Amino acid sequence: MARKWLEGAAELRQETVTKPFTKTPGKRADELISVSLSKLTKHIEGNTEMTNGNKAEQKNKLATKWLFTKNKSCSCTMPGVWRAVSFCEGCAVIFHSPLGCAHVATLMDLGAQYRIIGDHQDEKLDAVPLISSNLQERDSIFGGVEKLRGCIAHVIKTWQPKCLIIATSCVAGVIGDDVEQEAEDAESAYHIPALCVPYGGFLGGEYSDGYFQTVRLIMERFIKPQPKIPGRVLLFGDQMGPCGQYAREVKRLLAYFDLDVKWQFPGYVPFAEWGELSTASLLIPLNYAGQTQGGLEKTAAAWAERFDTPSIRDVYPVGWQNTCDWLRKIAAFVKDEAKGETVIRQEEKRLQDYVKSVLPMTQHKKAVLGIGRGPRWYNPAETLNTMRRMQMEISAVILYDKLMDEERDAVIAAVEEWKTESGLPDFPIIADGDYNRCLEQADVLLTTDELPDNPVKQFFIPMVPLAGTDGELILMRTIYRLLCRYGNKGGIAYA
Amino acid sequence: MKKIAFYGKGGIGKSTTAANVSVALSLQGKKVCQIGCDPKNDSTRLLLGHICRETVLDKVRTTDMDKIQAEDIVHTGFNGITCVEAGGPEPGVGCAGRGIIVALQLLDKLKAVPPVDVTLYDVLGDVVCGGFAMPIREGYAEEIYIISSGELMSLYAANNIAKGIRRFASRGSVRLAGIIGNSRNTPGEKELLHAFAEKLNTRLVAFIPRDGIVNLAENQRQTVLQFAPECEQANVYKKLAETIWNNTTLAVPTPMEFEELEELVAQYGKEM
Repeated sequence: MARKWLEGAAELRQETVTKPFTKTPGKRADELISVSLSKLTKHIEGNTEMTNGNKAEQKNKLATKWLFTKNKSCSCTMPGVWRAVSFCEGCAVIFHSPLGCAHVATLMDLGAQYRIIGDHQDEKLDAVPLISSNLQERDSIFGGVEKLRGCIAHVIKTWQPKCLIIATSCVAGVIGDDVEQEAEDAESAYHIPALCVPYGGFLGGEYSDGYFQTVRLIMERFIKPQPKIPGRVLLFGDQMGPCGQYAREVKRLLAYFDLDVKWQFPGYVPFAEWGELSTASLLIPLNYAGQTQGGLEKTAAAWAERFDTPSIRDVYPVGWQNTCDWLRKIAAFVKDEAKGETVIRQEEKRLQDYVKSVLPMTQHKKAVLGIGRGPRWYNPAETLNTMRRMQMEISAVILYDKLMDEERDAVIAAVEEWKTESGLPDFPIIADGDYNRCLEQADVLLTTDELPDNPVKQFFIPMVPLAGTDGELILMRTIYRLLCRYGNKGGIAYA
Repeated sequence: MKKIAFYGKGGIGKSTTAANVSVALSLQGKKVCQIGCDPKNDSTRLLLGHICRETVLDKVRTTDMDKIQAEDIVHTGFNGITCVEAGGPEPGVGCAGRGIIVALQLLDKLKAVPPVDVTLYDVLGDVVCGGFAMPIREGYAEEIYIISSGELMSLYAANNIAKGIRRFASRGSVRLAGIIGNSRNTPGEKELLHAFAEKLNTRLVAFIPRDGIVNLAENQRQTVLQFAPECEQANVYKKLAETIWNNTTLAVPTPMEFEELEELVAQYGKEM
C-alpha cells in the first residue's frame, strides 16, 4: 500500500463548485477551463444539424456527467513532478507549497491505486515521502525560503533520502522565492543531489510539463551512455505503472521474443539504479497514438538519441491492428520476423476464439458510439474496429456538445475515414442532433462520457488505453457482459 | 470621516507631504490617523520622531495572527495623531503587495483605528500590483490625491495611478480629488501641472514650492510645522490641509496616452 507523509496536521477541506455551463460567445476554446458538473444539461441554441444534411426537428438536450474541456494548461506541474519519482526508492519529494497542493497529489495516487485494485492487481509499491513546506499567509508576504530550508532539514533528518526533488507552487512562483539557490545550498550542506523543478505550480505549465521536466533533469544529471545489455528492455512512461494493464501486456508480449523488462522509467526505478538505465538495449514508450502524449514521444526520442538506445516509437500496441504492427517491429528488432508472424497468428486466434464465443450475444446488436473526447485524447477507429469485430450493427456515432468546434471537425473526419476504409454500410454522425431517438433504439452505447439518467446500457471507454490482445479481450468481455445483463436497458460498465 | 490617500512616484515627497498635512489638520482640531502603506515603513517617522518600531507586518511575522492586539500596532505621534505602519518584507523577498492586503484587513478585523475625522493612507510609489491598489479598491480611501512634480516620469506615474483610480471608480466610491504639485523647479512646472490636472479631469489643489526648510526639518525628525511653524512653507501645508478638508470636487479621472503626455510636457517644459 502506498503511503504518504504530509507535513502538518491542518484539516483539509475540499469544496465542489457546481454551476451551469453556458457557451460564452466569442470565447476562445483555449480560454475555457475544466468544469466538473453533475447532471449537466446543456441547451443547444439555434438550429441543430446532422452531418448527413438533415435538419434536426427539435432543439435537443443531452446530459453528460462530466464536462471536461482542455485545450490549454489547466492543471499543475507539481503532481507531474511527484508522479515522475513517486516510487523511486531513495528519493524524497518536497512541494514548496501550501499543504493543499500535496493533498491533490495524494488524491491522484489514491485514484490510481483504486484503479489497480479494481483490476485485481496486488500492487506492492511504497511511495517515497512527499512533504509540503506548508507555505502560509505570512510566508506569502515575507518569503518562504526559510520554511523550505526547515523543510529540507526535516526531510533529511527524518528519511535520509539519497536524492531530493523540489517542486515549486504558484505561491512560491508569485512571490519569487529563490528555490534553485536553496536546492544548491541543500546539495552543499547535505551532500546529496537536489533537483529543482521551479515551474511555479500551474504558472509554468501543466502536469505533463512537470513530469517530463523531471525526467529530463534525471536524464541529464544521472544517466550516461554506456554499453547495452542484450535482451534488457526499458519501459518508458507510466500508464498506471508496472501493475497497470499496459505494462503487464507489453511484458507478456515481449516475453515471446525473450526480451526482459528490467525497469519502468520514470517513477518506478530506485534511485540507486538510475545510473544503469542506459544499459537497456531497447526502449519501449508506453504511448498511445492519437493521445496527448507528445511529451512522452519527445522525451523518448531524446533518450534514444542521447543514449543511443533503439526504440519502437512509430507504433504502439493499442488496438489490434496496431498491436500486430508493433509485434512486427519487435520481431524486426530481434531479427526474427517469422517469430513475429507466429506470435501474431497465436494472438489473433485468441481473439477469434473469444469473438466466436460471444457472437450469439453481440452479433447484430444495435450499437451507438458517443464521443466527447477530442482527438488529442481519443481515436474512434479503435472502438469502431472492436464493434466491427463483434459484428455489432453500428447505428450511429453521436458527438457530445462539449467538443470544441475544431475537435468536432477532427472527430468527424476520423470517423468518415474509418467508414471509407471499413466498407461497412453507412451510418449517421450526429452532432447537435436528435440523440434521444437513436439512443432509445440502441442496445448499447459505447461512450467516452457517462450519460446520467439515460436508460441506454452504457460501456465507458477507458481513459487509460488498454493494450495488446489482452486489452482488446478486456474491452470485448466488458461489452459482452453488459449485453448479458438482465433487461434491455440501463446500467454502465467500465473496462 | 474623510478617507484620503496620497499616491505618487517613489521619492516625490508623499510621506513628507502626508506628515505635514496630518500635523496641519490635527493642529486645526481634527482627529487624524496616518497609515503608511510602504515596506520601508518611514511614512510616520516625522510624526513619531523615529522610525516606526512595530509595524503591522512585524507583528504578523512574529506573532500568531489571532493573538495580535490593536495596541501592538497602533502608535500615537505628534499632537495625538494615530500612526500605523503596514510594514513589509525585506527587499527582494516575499510579496509587499500581499503584505498591504493582509495589514489593512487585519486593521479592519481588529477595529484598530480609533474614530477619527481624517484617515490618510500614504501608499508606496506606483500602483504596481493589486496589493497597492487595495486602499483604492476596497473602499479604504475615497479621495485620492496624486503628488507629482513637473518631471515627465513623475507625471507618467501620476497618469498610471489615474488609470488605476478610473478602473476602480466604476464600481466604488473612490474618486480623484486632485493633483498636489511638489516642485522640482522644472521649466513651466506649475503651468504644466495645471494643464496636466485639467487633462485628467481634476485640478491642481496645491503647488508646494521647493524649500530647504523641509530637509532641515526632516533631518531633525520633524515636520515643517513642528520645526518652523511660522515659516512660509508651513503656511503652504496649512493651506493644503484646509483645501483637503473642504474639498468636495471629486472626479473620475480621464488618463492620457503616453504620447499625449509627452506632447504636453514638451509644450510647457521648453525654457528655464
